[in-house]
Amino acid sequence: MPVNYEQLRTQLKNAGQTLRLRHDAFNRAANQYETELRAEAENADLRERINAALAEKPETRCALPREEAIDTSHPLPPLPPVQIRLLACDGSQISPSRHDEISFGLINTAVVELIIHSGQTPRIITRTKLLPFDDLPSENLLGVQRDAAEKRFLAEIAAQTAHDITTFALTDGPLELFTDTPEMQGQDLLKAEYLEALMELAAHKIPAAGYIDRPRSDPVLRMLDLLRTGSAKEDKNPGADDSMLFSRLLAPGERSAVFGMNSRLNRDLGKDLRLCFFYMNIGRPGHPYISRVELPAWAAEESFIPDLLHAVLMEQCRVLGGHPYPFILHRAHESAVVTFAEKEEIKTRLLREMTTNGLTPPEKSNKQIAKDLIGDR
Amino acid sequence: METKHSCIGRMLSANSRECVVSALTPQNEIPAFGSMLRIPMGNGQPEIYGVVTDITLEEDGFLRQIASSSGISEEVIRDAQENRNVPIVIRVAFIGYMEGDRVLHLLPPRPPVTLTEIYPCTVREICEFTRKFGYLRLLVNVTQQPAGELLAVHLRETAKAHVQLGENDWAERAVAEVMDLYTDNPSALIAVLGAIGDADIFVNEE
Repeated sequence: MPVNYEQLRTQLKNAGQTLRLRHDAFNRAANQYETELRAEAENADLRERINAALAEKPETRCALPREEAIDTSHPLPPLPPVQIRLLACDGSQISPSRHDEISFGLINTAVVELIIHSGQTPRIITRTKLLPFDDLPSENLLGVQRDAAEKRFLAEIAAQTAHDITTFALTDGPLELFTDTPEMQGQDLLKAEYLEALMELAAHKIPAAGYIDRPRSDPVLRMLDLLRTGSAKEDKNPGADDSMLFSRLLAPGERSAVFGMNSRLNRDLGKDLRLCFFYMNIGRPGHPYISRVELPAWAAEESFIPDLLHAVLMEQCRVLGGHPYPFILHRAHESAVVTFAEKEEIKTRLLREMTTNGLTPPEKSNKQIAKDLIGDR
Repeated sequence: METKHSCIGRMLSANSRECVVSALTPQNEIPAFGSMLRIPMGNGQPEIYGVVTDITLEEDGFLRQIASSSGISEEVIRDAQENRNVPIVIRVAFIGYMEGDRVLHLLPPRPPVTLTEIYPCTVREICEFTRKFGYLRLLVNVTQQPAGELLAVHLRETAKAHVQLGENDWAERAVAEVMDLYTDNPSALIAVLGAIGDADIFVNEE
């Protein structure tokens, strides 16, 4: 028995008490932030004060108020009875492992096209790319490469579709490409391709939207900290996040005001592509569930787009009943995911190709062979 | 020349009497209950013939979630029916095998190996295999389904194939064979004949 449950017993009891204290602190903080948000919504000099604070620390990551009041809650608009095209992309990867018979990497991306009110069967397009063996990326870099591949594929498919109906290009997760990691140094081509994909979607007037399920970031809280103290906290507010705040502000089905985002990465994107976001409560009465939706500034400025996106995403979430999540994003995930059996099949074919070319197929590492003996126990 | 059908699935497990197949085809193309399939073993081994005795749509948590929601759109339903890989499992009872041109209405010497491909039978294959009725002995002993229902649909579909080749009396001879098989069990015979009557198996060439 590898886990020492006797040692763990006391720790679990203490953890329960700690979580209780954390929850209470969480609620007190939420009350305070809610009061502050409502008070700041009334202040005419809100934007000037934020700008003044940001002048000193321009790279502070926090939310930015836009035209509407920051405590605005928008009721769920009806979904118009017209055709709306949804394109959703997701990707999955095989990360190279030196313990496999052969270390190889692969990115699999899938786009699902669903036209609301069409009665048509959704279309699924997949793309599979084996990575070059002489330049296998690290796990983190491969994740970023996959993100970029998703956006490129989405933009490519979006460009090919007819532009006669309103179209949204959806992905799971933030739209922002996190490029501050050490692995991303020198990956300018990747960044450029990513940016190009966002620009291509914008050129076709197709709003890209990133859907974040159960977000744990706190840009609005950081904005309120900035207004209260003149500087945002360096670290994430412990135990508190924007979901906590907006689960109090938004009734089921409602969305928040659209916020801008201040960050170095976002400033690099240029005015039209800078990311904005809003929160939605996709839960039910007494059980709020907050998700965040990111979209580029040009789309946020078109008055109908946030409302239509709100209606579309709520409709998509409704399909999954008691555990709401956009149906099309789940289908994109299902279509893109590389299963263990598929990975094994690809590896077998690769080893066969090695044999065909006169090479002796290598074995797994001794460590992996030993692990496999234990199996899934 | 009659076109051969394409593979409908691969075998998951088997014993001497039957096998379980995972279907690869869309839901609307899966072989019908009571229809005949063939399992080529390759390497000079016999080609096994079987009849579909059960079709199961396996549990899928995601579909269950969708099904519990109200007002699902046409697009979502079509996606589930045409795009998603919902596991469809088919049970096939063995009814004999072919060794070269020789038809043997006996259980195969050994079951096929895992992941063997399964094909629907063409009209000619159905007729060649069922020209004699020994295989019905194996079919009446299938226990998972009421024998009458299975026999009725199987005889109806097989009779259609024979009519296509001008063998119009096949259904009549097949029913006589079934009656012989149930000589010692009149109550079962009544149930089987009731199902056969409902299936309206005596088709005529149009």
